[in-house]
Amino acid sequence: MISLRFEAGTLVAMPSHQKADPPWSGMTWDQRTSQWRAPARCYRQLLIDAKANGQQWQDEARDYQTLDLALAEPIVPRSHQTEALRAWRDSGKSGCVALPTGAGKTITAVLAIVMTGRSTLVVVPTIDLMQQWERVLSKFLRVHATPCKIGILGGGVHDPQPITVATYDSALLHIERLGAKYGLLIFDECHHLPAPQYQTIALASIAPFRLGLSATMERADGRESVVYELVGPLVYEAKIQEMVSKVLAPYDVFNIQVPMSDQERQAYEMARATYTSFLKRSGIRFNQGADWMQFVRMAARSADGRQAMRAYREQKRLAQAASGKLAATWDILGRHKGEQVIIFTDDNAMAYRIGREFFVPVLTHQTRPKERKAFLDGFRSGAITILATSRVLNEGVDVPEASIGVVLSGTGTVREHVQRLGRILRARPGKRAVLYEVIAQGTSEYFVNQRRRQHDAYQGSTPLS
Amino acid sequence: MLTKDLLRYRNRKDRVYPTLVDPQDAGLLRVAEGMIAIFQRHVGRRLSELDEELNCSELGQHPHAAGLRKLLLDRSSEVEDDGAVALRREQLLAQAQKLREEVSFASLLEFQEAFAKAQGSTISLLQEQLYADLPDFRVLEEFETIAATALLHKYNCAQIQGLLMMAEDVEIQIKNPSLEERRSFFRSLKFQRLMTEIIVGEDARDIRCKLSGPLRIFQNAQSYGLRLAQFFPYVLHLKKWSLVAGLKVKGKYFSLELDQKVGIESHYKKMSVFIPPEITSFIDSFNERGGTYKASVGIDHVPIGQQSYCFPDVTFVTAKGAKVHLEIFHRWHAGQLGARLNALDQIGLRGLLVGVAEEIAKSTEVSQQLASSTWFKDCGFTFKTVPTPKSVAAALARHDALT
Repeated sequence: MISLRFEAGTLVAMPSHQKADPPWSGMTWDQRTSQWRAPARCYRQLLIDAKANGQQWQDEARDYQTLDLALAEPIVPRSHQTEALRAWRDSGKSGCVALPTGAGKTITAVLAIVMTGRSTLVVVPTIDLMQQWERVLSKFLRVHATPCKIGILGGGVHDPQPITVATYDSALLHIERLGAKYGLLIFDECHHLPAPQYQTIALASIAPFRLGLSATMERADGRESVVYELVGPLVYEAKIQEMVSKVLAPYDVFNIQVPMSDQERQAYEMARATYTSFLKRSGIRFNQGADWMQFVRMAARSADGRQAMRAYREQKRLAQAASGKLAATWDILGRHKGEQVIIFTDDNAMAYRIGREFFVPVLTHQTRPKERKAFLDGFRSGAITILATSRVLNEGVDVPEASIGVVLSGTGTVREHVQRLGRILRARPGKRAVLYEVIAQGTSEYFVNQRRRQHDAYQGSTPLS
Repeated sequence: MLTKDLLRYRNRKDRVYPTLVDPQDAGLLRVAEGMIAIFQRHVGRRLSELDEELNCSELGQHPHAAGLRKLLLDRSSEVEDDGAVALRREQLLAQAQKLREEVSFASLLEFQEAFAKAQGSTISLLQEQLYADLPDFRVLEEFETIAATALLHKYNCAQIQGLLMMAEDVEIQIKNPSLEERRSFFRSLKFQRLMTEIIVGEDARDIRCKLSGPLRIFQNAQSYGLRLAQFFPYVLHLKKWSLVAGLKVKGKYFSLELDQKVGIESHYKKMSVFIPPEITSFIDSFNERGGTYKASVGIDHVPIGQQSYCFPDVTFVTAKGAKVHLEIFHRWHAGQLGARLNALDQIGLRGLLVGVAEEIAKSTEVSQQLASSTWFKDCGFTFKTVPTPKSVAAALARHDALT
């Protein structure tokens, strides 16, 4: 009988003979070690095919446990959570679920873990999220009716357990050794998975059951298909508009245009002219996605090009940091005194500028863990009512009570703006959330704003004023 | 290493050409010396001041300045923050919030003026204090200096390492390597957990190897890029070598071809190698048990007859200086196991143990080799994923009983 073994993120057949047909059609002859080999993720399909063909394998690859899991306290899932779980179960417990922020992805995952009853690895993008998941899983999961010790991989901690939470970076580091130890893989914010290195986590694991979670599966590069290939198809999707008044607060989006100062306008026009004239001379029109990379390549090749790149960055900075935005923000804060407000910027420089001008806490990747916790705890309790951030609150971190969002600058990606919108939509009785987008008049920010408003989350928003 | 944005290279047809600098170029040496001097001068001062001086000088405008800065920054450490700024910030933020809640101000300026007055300070001073512990404001505590030439060599190495991060496969040829070169080369390979497909036998004059990892033969093979990049400085110690790497750059495939003529001096010390965490763990656990032997990373080579050598992973030493070495065989080094056992059976060597992973021990070919090796019965053992201190202690006891 042929044995199936797990080896450093792959499956190998023992014994292996090159002259024979591969023991399974998905295996490739590896002449380096004289073995038939397949990526570990083929485990499920291999077993399905073996059963269908009446083929017998000695399974020496599986090293994960069947666990007697239960809930420590009852969870009554909302209808969309029940529908999502059903759809996931019906697709063989292999697929992706897209739920807006605040709609209960984590609890859906807890129910999926109990439903599956296997050793589980949850992969998350940040240490904050790792700690959040660890708290939630510890709270809700019981193994053999006793509290479940949740393992941690990441942030300097290496403590793998049958149920473990790992950052993407730590999972990548260890998956070649641990890839056979988990029967269920859960990818939180699974839109990160298509990154070339992170794909290895999915490839190098035998886990037959997989769940991908995200607020929005769309990626600007269209590579969400990689997620579907590695985790499973999109089995359930709920849009923000559908969740409003069910689990998400109703909301309004206001777009505010502010003038630039004369000085800013002059500098902006000059920088923009330098940038656009280079584009014209180089024949770049930004009709296609590849045109940006063409600009970057051409900009690197000459002094003119480097100047054009500097000019591009300068005009972008001037638009995003227009001083008129400060006055507009002050007005908004006055209008919503006492409410919880998050101010979003595109970069740290602008975030700290807001922090210094308004004397408000700023959360960026430079914020030390202890202070980050203090800011978030304070915001959660209401002791802090205004928080400024660059992109670090775009996803993941649980910020439950914000009702007002002020976007001072951002990328054109729909993902980012839907995620930011999600930060303020957690429902509370009587709550109506408001998202303000403050745009520098007569700049490229107008077109970025227009692109974002195509997403259905923005239907019904007020046009630019 | 350098981030992608700091890599300098050209693509022509299907090849990539890294832009390497001449470490002897007088102009560039002046730039390197100047930047090193700026770093040295700014020990005890803010990083933002360092960058300001750099950016305002000609040095900062040089095309390679950003990359050199990164490498110099990697050699620096910052003063540990004592928390005073964070404490002051906590106070200021709480007081500012209280003021905003209690009083309505028509404009931001009014608020700022009122706040400054309440603090008995000026708004600009308060703004400066508020986030004074950000990285830009952090103070350079130490800077490990480096000679200008060495910095430029390191820069060139980093350019190639950055490209190798995108490599999907690498083939290296070494011409007539010395014993020391062979030891360093194979030891480094083993410790970087890179698979080697040796195209010409390792005891022939030249060595030609394809380096990769298990997943390499499938799509998505860039997971070994970091290891290949970390391995590259060891190659620079070789006298005559050539390297061909297949890179995937922005979705397209290119080849990178280099040899010793790049003339880069390695910044890795010759004898040091990366030690895999499982070896370190094993050594720590073994030594915690106490006993006659103390374990450490193997650095010796052991002659095993026929002008052949092995390079053990761990060395055990008694208080009297008696040594026993341990060589560990996993799947990707199994190709050498047969030859090793043959040689050891012939010379009946003592002072060496061999551990063989069960995953390969169970194969027909290897199990036959192990069964037919009298040497292995005395001095060998198998293990599941990594050797345990208990099993190795037992093997050492068996060995000692025979000698």
